[in-house]
Amino acid sequence: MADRDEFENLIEMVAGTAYRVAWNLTKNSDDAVDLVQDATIQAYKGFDSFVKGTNFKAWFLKILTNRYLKLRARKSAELSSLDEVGDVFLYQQAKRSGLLGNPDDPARIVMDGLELNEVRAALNRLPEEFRLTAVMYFLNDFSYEQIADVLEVPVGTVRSRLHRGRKLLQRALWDVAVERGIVVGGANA
Amino acid sequence: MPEMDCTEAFKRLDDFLDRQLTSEEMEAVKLHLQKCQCCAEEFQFEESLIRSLRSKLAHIDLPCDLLQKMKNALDQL
Ligand SMILES: [Zn+2]
Repeated sequence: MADRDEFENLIEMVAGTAYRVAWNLTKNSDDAVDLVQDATIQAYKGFDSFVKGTNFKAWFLKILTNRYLKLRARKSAELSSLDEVGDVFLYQQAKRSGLLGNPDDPARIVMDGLELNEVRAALNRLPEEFRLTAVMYFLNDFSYEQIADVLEVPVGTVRSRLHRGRKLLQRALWDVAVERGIVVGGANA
Repeated sequence: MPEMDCTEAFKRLDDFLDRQLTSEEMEAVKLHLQKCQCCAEEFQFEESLIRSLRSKLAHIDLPCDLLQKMKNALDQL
């Protein structure tokens, strides 16, 4: 069996990220802990295949993501209303509602008004493949190549999902901000 | 590289923010942003949005017994 002490030292360094990723993939903290525990077991079982000196965090998150995809009961509902989104959606909306005249940073006005759970609600509105890519992107300082490795897709796919995912996320964030009364909605791009 | 117009600069927005362009392209976009207030505002907005999303998501509280639970999971083996 693999060296347990060595393994435990490594998981100490990735526990926080692993949980945050899991928290965004699953819908609640209990499921997130379960997923992290499950990934920990799988990682330990496969620890012999980890190449020393390579990125343990990426290796661990790859296992965690695969476990999530395997264990998840069904795909999250995809909202067809998210299909048509223009470029820089949030920027355009902020402009329309006069936020850009504000001396403060308009992106921050929208974001500061949103609670963490509301940001997650917006993330959860994204179709699964965009959501996974966005979670890896926003929770890690991973390059496109590293995200591609974790999700086991080509780099070009990461790039296009990320670009499209950002637009969809802007739309979802704006919808949540309007629903919560943080900004006044109305005009639709 | 010829001078970039708004359309050309805008096409590279995402890759610029993620530093996925060649250094030559990065410079060309930067040069355009210095000259074009309109694009500069959009780029700034996008950048700030990414930054705020990152910092918000980094503040997810961890369960205090997380590490113990991970280690306990190994005892089941
Ligand atoms: Zn321009």
